[in-house]
Amino acid sequence: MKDEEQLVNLLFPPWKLMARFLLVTMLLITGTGLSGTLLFISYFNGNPERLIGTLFIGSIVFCIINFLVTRGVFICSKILKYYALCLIILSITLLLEINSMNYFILLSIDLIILLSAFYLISGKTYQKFVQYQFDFFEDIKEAKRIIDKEIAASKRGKNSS
Amino acid sequence: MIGSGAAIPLSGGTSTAITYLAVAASTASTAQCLNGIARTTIEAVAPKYNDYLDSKEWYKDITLALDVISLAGAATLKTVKVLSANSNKSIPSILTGLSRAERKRLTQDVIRLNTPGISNKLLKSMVKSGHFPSRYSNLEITRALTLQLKDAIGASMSFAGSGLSGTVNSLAVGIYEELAQ
Repeated sequence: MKDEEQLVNLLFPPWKLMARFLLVTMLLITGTGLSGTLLFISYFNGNPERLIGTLFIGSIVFCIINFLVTRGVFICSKILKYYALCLIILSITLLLEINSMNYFILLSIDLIILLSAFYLISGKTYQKFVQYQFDFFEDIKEAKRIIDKEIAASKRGKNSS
Repeated sequence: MIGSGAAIPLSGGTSTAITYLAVAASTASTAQCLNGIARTTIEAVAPKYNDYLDSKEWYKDITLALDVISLAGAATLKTVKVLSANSNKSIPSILTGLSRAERKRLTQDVIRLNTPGISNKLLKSMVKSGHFPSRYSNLEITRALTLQLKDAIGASMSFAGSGLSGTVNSLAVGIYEELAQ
């Protein structure tokens, strides 16, 4: 029973790793929405068309990169890490633009969220998740290669006979 | 996405389609989420922009389109329906476990589906050589089915969300009966 459990756990990422990935995703989405909106209102004179367009394009790019993280692409996890860092730096510059209590509260929440996301992406658990996914898909590729070889060899054997 | 990716070995790549559907649906859901966060932020800082957006036709069309795309994830519900229709067992009893013979038959069917045209002889020799499993364990099957159910529950949440305030809310179902004159 224990062996079976271990065998199955090889197929599915451990819950701890998966929970960390989902948490980072949620934090980055919230951070992107908050800082993106605050940046547009402060620096681009609040053009709503541009804001919505940028957020939609941003969400597509973010989802593609995040999807690649689930496929074990290390460079994408680094991109997300530096993306969080860029948002933190840009949000810090917004401290000079505070003009109301609401603005201050939102900016504080935004900075806390982005710092948490940056900390979690830099952590070992998130990197373990990417490594786990990388190993998993490498194993699938290898298994597919072996099966294809075997089938091709058996077909060749049939044709020659 | 992770779940359907993990099911690739068991489904022989069939779940890849679900993965891409999930990517499209999750992208649309992310965009909706960002839209919601942006609207909340705007409402707190500069509410006039929300009024401006609400007055625009293109904005309503985009939110409608996103709602429809995220609903595509609900298509995974069909998998569960097909599963219960094709097996004599109920979903809970399948989740409890299959017998040894049932698991062997299921494994052979999965291998045949994954490698079309494979002969019985080749199948047996490949199972013997360890390239294919002789039978999936109860746990493997149960986890794969649980995963499908979770996907379905997630999809139904999208459906419910849309039903409360989105596209589905405006749909109506009519039941008619023809009466003899």
